[in-house]
Amino acid sequence: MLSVNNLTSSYGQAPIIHDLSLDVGPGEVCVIMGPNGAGKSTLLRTIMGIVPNVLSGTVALASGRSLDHLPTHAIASLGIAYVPEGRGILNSLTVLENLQLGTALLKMRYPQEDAATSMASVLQSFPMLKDRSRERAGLLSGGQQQMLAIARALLSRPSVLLLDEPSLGLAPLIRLEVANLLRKIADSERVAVLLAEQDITLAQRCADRAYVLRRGRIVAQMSADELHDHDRLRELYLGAPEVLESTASN
Amino acid sequence: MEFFIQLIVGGLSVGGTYALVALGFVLIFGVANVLNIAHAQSIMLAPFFSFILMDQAKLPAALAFPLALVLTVVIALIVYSAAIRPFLVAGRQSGYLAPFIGSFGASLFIENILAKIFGSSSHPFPIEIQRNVWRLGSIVFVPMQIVSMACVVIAALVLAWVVTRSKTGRSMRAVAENPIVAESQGISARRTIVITITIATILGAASGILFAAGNNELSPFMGMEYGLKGLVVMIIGGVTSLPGAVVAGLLLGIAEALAVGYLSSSFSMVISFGLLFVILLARPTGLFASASRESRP
Amino acid sequence: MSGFYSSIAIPVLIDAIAVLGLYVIASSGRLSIGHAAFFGIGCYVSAILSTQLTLPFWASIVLGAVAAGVFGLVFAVVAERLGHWFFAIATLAFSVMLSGIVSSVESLGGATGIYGIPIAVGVPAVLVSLAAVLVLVYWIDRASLGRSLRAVRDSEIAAEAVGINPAYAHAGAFAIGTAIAGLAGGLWAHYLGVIKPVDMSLDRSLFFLIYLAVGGIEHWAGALLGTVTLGMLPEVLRFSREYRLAFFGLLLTGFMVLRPSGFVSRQLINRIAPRVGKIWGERHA
Repeated sequence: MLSVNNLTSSYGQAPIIHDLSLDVGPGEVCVIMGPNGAGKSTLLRTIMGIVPNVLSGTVALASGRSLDHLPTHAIASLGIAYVPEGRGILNSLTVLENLQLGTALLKMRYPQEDAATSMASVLQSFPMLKDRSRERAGLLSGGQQQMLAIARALLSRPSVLLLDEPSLGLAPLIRLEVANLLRKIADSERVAVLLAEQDITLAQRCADRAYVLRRGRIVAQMSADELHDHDRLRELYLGAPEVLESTASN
Repeated sequence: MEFFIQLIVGGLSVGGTYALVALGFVLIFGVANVLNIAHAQSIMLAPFFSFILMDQAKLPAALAFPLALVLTVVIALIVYSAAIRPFLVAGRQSGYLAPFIGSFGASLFIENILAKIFGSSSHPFPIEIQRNVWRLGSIVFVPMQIVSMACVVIAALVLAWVVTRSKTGRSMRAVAENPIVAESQGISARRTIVITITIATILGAASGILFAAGNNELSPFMGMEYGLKGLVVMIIGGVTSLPGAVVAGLLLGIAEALAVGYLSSSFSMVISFGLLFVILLARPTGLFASASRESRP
Repeated sequence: MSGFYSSIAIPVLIDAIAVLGLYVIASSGRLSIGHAAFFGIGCYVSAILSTQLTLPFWASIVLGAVAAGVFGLVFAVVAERLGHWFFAIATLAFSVMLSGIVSSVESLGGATGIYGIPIAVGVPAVLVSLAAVLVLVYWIDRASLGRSLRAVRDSEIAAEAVGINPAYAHAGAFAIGTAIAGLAGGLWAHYLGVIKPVDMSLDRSLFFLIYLAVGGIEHWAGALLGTVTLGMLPEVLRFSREYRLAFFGLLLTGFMVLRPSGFVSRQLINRIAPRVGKIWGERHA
């Protein structure tokens, strides 16, 4: 369970996200939507401790454990897995070595766990990766890399999974697979999934809730049903008068 | 013909030591994305510390060398904390020239403080290696050359194993390619950089001791002298390539040896730069063009 | 100006000219740690032209500058592929090689150098040259050339996107900067009457770099300030060479960590320039 409270952060002088608050519970898939530059990536990066200036607000886990001021590797070892834009695969490492980063993190979090069994079971769930385990990860296709990134993230038994535009550059059929996979992960592993996405179809497929971001602020929250309501979506995405008013007054 | 082979042997020995220097620079540049000029001083500090420990503290070589190594690593990490680490903090907008120039300043400082303490001229660096000389047919192997080549081979093999097969090596390669992704996997980029600098410093220190013992000469300016050669080797080899550094080092060593043997000894530096020039014209990316991080100045 | 003062002022002013050349190079994003090599080319070419071909001194000096610029252009073109740090290393290697070659070739005077150069440069010549170079540098800064150079320095990708070729910018700035260094070298040769390989030594390159980096890399005023203050310092403090370099090294690192732009930064200029302009305007109203 991830709790973001009044978060404001910036890279340089100007804040990108303003006073953001949201929650994601275990087993929930929550999507952050919005146009480019809205601050979706920045939000995820701030949670991960990558953005340098956190001007105000806090991020905490269910246990009350605060993520504030922690370096990224410490946040990762607390069980927050992050798949950045572009998959975040290390191209120069082999598929197996990429996965081994995940098992190393697993050992760091749960020293008594058996890395070999976890690796074996993940390879079983992703047979395509098993076939290519000795290949350099840079040679995989976009979809395969996305699977590798998610598999690697799963290996460390995270409680929270953050994904930044997982559908980017993927064929529609693969996007569907990713959406199904995320739904499955949330349901069976009780992971809190927070993803930034522009692809509404993917969001419709797997999300329980959605937030709409515009210029660094949350302008609307939607339930899964509302996501299928085309008129409401059009309002929010293309800018109905009441939405524009509320952003102008911020 | 024998003269030729003799020169090759000498060239391989010296070239291997150049490769050690280059490997240190390549490691630091690859993992920390910084060209740390101050690393060159580990070449000079290790033999100096050894000398002081053996000469003043009367320690036996077997104790002095490891202790000198430790002291050199300590100094390297202090310089890293003062001049390099401030630039590794994400979001620090100071451009790329500052850490490079800063490391240069640190190098100047160390070099000249040593020169002030010990004088600018060279000292002898006598090491008791057995006087016997080995022969293979009519090729003569000076013991120092054997020791040197053995050290280089061992160091290269150990390094290759660490980089490709160990968990540390995997972390180093991960941080080298993308520190943010590496951090997301629980790898501390800072810790990895510290480990990298330690390994690099050990390589540099070893090369310094080999140079000093081989030439029976210890000078406060030998750091920059061999450091510059190592940097040229690094560029010829392809800047981010470890095997490239080894091949380029051997190549430079042989080229220098042949030039000095057949032409004259004043050609040493000309050869380094000349080779660099030729490579830049013929193969600008270096001998082993390599995978790179998004942006390297 | 009395002999004592001019003997301190002239070397510092000549250095200032060379450092202005380094500033031009730096404004395109490149760094040179071998700047003294081009200073030395100016020294030697002008010296040979004056002593062997007995050209008038001003012609020798100008041709020396041109020669340095040509060498610089060729160097920059060949080394274009190198990233900034490695370009700096290449300039260092070049300078070490050049001083090595010059000291072993007898026809260039070998280790003893060239002497008997006509001493024709005094304070007036140096001041005129400095003024001319300042005008050139000021003009480059304000003209579109300067904007192009700075664009390339700040982001090569962005500069390319607006049609500026970084290779041309690097090469052009390097050629101009090295020509200016060559000019300074020619002045030096005809001031001292004697030149030696040590005039293009690594030490000299380091001083040039330190003067610029500490004085301020973003503006020509930084080049002047750095050279004048740090160049005069040894006279004031009477440091030995090692202490001077060690102190400068410390200063360099300190500045890079605490104030990387050097003393004179863009922000400082932006704050002071309007006030200077106002005072100037009031005085001359």
